[in-house]
Amino acid sequence: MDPLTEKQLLVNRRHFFGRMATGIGAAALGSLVNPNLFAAMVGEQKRYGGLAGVPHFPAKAKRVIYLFMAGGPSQIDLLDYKPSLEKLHNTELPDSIRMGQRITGMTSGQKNFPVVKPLFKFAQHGKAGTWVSELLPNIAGIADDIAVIKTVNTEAINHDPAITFIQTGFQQPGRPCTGAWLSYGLGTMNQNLPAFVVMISNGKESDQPLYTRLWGSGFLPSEHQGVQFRGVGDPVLYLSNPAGVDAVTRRRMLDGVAKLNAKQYQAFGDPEINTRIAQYEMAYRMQTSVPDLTDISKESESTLEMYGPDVKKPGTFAYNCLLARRMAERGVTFTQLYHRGWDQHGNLPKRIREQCKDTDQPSAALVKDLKQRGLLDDTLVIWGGEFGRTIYSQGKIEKNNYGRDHHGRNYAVWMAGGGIKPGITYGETDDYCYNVVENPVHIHDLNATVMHCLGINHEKLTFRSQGRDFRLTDIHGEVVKGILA
Amino acid sequence: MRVALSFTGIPGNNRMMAKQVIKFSWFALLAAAQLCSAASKDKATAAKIEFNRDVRALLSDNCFACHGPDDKARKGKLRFDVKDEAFKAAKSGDFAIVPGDLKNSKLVERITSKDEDEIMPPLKTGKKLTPVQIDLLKRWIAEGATWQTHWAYEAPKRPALPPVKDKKWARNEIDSFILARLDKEGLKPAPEADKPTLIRRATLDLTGLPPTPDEVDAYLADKSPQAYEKVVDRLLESPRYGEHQARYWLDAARYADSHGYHIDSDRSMWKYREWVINAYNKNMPFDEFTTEQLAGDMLPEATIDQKIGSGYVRCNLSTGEGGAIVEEYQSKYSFDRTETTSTIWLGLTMTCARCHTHKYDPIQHREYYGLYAIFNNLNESVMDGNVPNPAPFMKVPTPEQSSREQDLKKLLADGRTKLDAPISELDKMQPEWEAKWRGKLSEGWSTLKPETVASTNGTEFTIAEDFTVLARGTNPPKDSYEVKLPVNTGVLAAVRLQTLPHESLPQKSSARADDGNFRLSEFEAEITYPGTNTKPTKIKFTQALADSARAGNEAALAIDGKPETGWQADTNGVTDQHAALFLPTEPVSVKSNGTLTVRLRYEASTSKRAVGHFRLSAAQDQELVQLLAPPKSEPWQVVGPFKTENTAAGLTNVFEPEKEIDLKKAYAGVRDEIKWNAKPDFNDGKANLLVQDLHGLHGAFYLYRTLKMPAARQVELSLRADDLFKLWVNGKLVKERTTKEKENEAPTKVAVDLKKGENKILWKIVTTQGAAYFTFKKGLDDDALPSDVAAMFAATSKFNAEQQKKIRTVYRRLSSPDYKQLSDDVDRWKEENDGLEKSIPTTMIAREMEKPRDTFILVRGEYDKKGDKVGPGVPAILPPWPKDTPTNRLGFAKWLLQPDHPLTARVTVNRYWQQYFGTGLVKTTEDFGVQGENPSHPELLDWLATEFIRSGWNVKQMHRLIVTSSAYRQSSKIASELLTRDPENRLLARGTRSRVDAEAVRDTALFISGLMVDRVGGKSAKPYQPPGLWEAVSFNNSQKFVPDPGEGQYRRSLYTYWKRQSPPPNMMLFDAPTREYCVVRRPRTNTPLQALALMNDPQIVEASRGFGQRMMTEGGKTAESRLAYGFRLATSRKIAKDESKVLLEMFNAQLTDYQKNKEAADKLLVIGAFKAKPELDRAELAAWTMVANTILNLDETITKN
Repeated sequence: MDPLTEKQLLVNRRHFFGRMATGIGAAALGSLVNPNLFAAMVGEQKRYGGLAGVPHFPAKAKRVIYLFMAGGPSQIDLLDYKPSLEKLHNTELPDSIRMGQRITGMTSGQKNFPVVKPLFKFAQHGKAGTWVSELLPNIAGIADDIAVIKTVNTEAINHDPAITFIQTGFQQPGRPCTGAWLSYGLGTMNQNLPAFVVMISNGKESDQPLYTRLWGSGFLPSEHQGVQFRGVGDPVLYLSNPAGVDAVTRRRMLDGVAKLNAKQYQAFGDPEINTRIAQYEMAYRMQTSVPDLTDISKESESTLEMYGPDVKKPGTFAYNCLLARRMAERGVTFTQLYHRGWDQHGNLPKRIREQCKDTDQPSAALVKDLKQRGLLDDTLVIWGGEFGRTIYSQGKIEKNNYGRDHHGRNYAVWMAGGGIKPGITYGETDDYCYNVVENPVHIHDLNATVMHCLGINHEKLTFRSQGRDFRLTDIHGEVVKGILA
Repeated sequence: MRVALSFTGIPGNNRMMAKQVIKFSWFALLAAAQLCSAASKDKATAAKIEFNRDVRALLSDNCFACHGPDDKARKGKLRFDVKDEAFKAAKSGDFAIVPGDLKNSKLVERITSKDEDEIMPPLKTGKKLTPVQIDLLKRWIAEGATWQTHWAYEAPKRPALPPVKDKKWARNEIDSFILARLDKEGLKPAPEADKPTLIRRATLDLTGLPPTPDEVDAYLADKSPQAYEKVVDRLLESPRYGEHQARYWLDAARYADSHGYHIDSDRSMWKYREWVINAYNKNMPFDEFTTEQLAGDMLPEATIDQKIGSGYVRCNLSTGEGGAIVEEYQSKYSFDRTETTSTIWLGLTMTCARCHTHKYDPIQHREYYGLYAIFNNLNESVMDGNVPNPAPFMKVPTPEQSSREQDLKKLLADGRTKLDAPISELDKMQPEWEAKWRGKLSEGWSTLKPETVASTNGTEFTIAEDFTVLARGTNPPKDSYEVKLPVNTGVLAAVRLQTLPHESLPQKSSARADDGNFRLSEFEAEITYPGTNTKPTKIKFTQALADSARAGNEAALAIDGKPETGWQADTNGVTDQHAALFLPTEPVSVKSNGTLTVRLRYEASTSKRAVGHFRLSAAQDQELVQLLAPPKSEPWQVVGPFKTENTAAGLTNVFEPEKEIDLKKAYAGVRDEIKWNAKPDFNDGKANLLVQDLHGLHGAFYLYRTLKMPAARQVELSLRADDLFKLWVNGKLVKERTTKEKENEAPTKVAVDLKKGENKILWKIVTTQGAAYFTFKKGLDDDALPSDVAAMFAATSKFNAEQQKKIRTVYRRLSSPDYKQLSDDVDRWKEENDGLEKSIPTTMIAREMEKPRDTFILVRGEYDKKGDKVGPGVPAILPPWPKDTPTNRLGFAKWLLQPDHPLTARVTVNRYWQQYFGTGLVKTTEDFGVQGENPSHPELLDWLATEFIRSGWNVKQMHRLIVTSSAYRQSSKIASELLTRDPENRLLARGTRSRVDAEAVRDTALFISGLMVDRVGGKSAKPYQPPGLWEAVSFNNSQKFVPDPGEGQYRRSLYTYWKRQSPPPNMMLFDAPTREYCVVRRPRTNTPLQALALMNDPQIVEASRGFGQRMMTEGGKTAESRLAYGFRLATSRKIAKDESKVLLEMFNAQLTDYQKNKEAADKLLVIGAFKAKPELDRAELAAWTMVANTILNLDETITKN
């Protein structure tokens, strides 16, 4: 090959790589280049897009499914068992425990901070004897597959900064989220689907807002932003042809566009034009691959049953969990589910029951389903929110009712699958479930650990913006070795 | 690698390339290295090392973190960011750098060390110098280690024009610099682009839209040498120029239509957007543009426009989150303002210095807070309350609104003057009228005979025959009397207390205090039935009146439940008799054998302020009761919002309060339980704000109150609410309003029959968003003496000025129909005025606190970790604050605009350059610091910066200069050789070719289709977007996106409503920023999702139909001519034969298909609101629609060639 042609190819490749992480397919390229050149081999897995040299070391996990429980689930009522509360119930939270911790504007005016014990029973489960609340019978059933981390902590105490913090490593808008970093670093294993997918459960009352910045690319190239798969309308925005335009018409139109664009390339020699040609072909293929992904009609009855009765309703958490598994099968790098409604300032017992009813079974089913298909070994599943809740009641303690305010000093998250030690409980909190006593896991540590499972050194996956090399973990974060397999 | 890539010789380009290489794959790297190395080695080795170009960035990147500006992080007392420090002995005594002496330069030893503990940078930093970099540093030291100050911190000096070979090519100064560089590189500029391409490029670049075929034709026909310049001048005068330029600025200023954090509710800032557009269109000089935005509010006698400009300072995100801590957000806002301003005007990245001294640039932690202090004095409402505009904001009326406002002001002033002026005939009669009423109201009082009087503190009493009570004996500092008085069966409408002077009392007054002043702290009463089982009735007084009161000691204070306040008569009248009247909400019924127990408490003072001599009487006479107890209404009780799908459903759905009113009941609300709340601050006849506590939800509210009528009668209610409502009186629906009120519409009037006794009024108001206004007025006081006036007559004959005025107004209204008419008119004008005030748009502005807020260094940037106090100031590396200039925002603007400022002009012209050439002369538009890139053409940048200042910061002139240069006019066809030599086109040996921005993609489609509404300014518009996007992320999925009807669909994208948490998706897909923070450089990607949007977005499909119709109706008779017309509309050039063939084949095939399947054609043709001409053949139009869709998807259509 003469140097000039090679240089052009190089530029072409560069554009393909730098762009939509879903890569580019053979049909699009025509005779321009040999498509096989474009897929980097990572282990046995073909990857499209991503950075050279990433993963930095052999990865345990190839993909992530993040079940984000927005609003701040109560660790006290779900996963952090405190027998001490029998005695402490209805006593005042001592200053020696609170230690000047700032309190949100919602309870800072409260005169008393009475400790309230959970209304729910805890029992030990699995060989590991993991303590789980009766609210989560299905998650209790997978106790030996998961690692419960009781000591996750954050500085933020309100939703907007807290959720922005855990998702992007910074409390204010502007940074890329975890999924965008992974799309940037790892690319995708399926050229016909986005590397980073977001699904939000249909909204309910008592939902806190979400922000598109949570799946935004910040200063990373914008193709790394999460692609929202939706329960209503087109699963992907603008995916379907308009009414009155069938596949033949679309193909005809695309052929016309391709021919004229090819002519434009001849005239201008701009490799960007070839990229555009390729992206149109890719779009065309997405029109098929996405409906195939969301078509659950061939799922077996036993599988559907496992996820529970909501699984057939698009937009439910159960449906999204099933879709997440299908995405894992198809090589989506990062699938993020959001389920809101955990912000239980008041009426907690009733509302947490409802929340658990919606999420317990599908979350556990996802882990079991991945496991039975041999996918759990290299899929990292994360379940958790932006902070936990206070030991003291927001408002009065009533016989069967109480509320809890936001609490960032410790809360519980569980993880399972690729790279995670199964069947453990990590970290210890004090009798008031208010402070970490042993093995704190800051959210930067958590994010560093997620990256580690994917074979990424969180300190090395950086991007230069505003004169500085940024990373997901800012200037912090240590991999939590204690939860690694 | 580094050397290999630097062969293009573009300073500063190197690091950028290196960075990109990381992004690409390993084989790209390998191939590039192989490709370039052979050709370039010689050149690279030949060039002398230049510190600014080759060394600083390397040191900055690898060493500054520990050996840079931050003294807290500094290791070994060694720093490489300052010349003297770098060359002096380190803590160890060794010299890191000895110019010309490699051996003794410790730096060389350390960077080449094999010892893991010795090597620099340390292993744990993860940084590693490449052999090429090591070689470079060694060569620099060997060559004498010449030092240079970072170029961007030195004021630009106007360079001489460099000589060029082809003087003809160099049309203006820009070209001299570009060409001189090309000459040096042995490159030739590209030929000028053909005319259609050129006019299209200039039109897209200056106005954001393509030219029309007529404009292209006119340009083609103009053979004069100045033909192109004429086009440019025309475009610079187009109002679209301002719209297009504003778009770039709004990215930087982070303009949006929502608050940003948490609930992200509506914000009204579009007046600021208009201001920016107008500023560009009237070619406001950049110095004014800067000053008015940073400090328009602080200019002497600031105009409305200047204040609007200061809205820049308020464009940051704000929060209304329930638990948020004010101080925390106040500092976040100041961070944002500091950093945004730094990026826009200084091209410096300040964020690092928020937490510690900058690791790379010479900006101290303390200096950051000097800048921060400038923006830390805003007198604003930090919590936005989820209302459209938190304070401070300003009203900005339209000319019509202004004129009506003026009219009303005059009508009101004249009307009020007339109402207040003497009316001799009426005035003559008034004393008689008053006397009549006084007579009526002073009669009928039953003087009550005290049965017993007791003191809590030992005072003794004498009860006289005229039922007066005289206190004697002990005179305690505080006291409380309990008087028991039998009362008649029936009703009791008021209790009157008369204080009577007595010889035996000090100063011959009615009080026991030495100075003769009493102070009654509380007046309490109840009806008891001694010796029976009948329950006592506590009397709740709601009105108290006295003939005389000292300021701050009004009678009302004796019934406020607070013993520390009370009623005291005027000190000058201690020897006078006084009276106070106490009225319950409604007359109290008294059964047989009732006793009135009155407690007179004197606890507001320890100065023995008890009344010494008094008498009590009661209003029990029927007429007196009637007069004193006219209709009474309870305050409104409010509950809501109840969740509804939309406003119509909200009106139809029957919620519980509609079935049964139970003020104690709690209902399921949107988030938590909702309960009834009393709203005594909701005044009748005034515009009341119904703030939804639950953050901008739509939903149904219920307002409930009772109205007690002494007799049945009809009254007219006057109602106004922002959205829909229903009104029930006594359970009967009396009015329903199912459509939204139009602006300035008169209130809804409804006549209702009220019965004697309690009437129940229930009002349901359904609102769409946030706060809603409502007014309620009951026409009750028209023909009766108002109760408060009646009470005045009953209490006294000595009225204060306010009372006199009130009495006169009542008298005149009752006596003169003309007066009543005028008085009603004034009320109506007042109401209209209130309504007008409310409909006038507002915009947020800046306002300084009177006393500056103290600013402290925030340790690690945390708002609650305060360090030293700091005052306003600027970093020492930059010019000092100008003398005699205030240290505030205004002074800061002046500082930025000093002619010798090294950054302001450079940073600004660089952004302009970026607009036209895709990349700035400094590629890192946002970072001119040491980590930023060096300029590709440093002299050109300096020439432009000095020229900009010299021209008086003339913006249009600068744009004109750029687009009329030969450099700009080059063809963008890429010769293969150039692609190799200069893939990023930094040398500008060809024109720039790039996809247009998101807004221009959509605007072009609207424009070509003929659908675009071309109107400058105005409110934000909501064109369609896929349903459910807002709901999916908003609080309780409550924020619904409702597309605008009509022209809102077709306005330029600059006007599209920008919700920060869910920005318009078709904009986001094409790389628009979220507007959450300042962006001065958009990325430009090319993705399949963009293809999907251009194919399937209903806005594009609709535009395709409009475009198709244009081809059919304007493009002649044949398919060929129609296609040629359409293609030219989109691309500005003639279609080639082979292109025409492709599209015609497609059209014919499509036409056949749609003729066979008319249903499909019909389906395609109804997408979007635009209705095509009915006479057009459906199948044909559908086929043209698909051709149009194809053309809109062409690379050429969305590209500036």
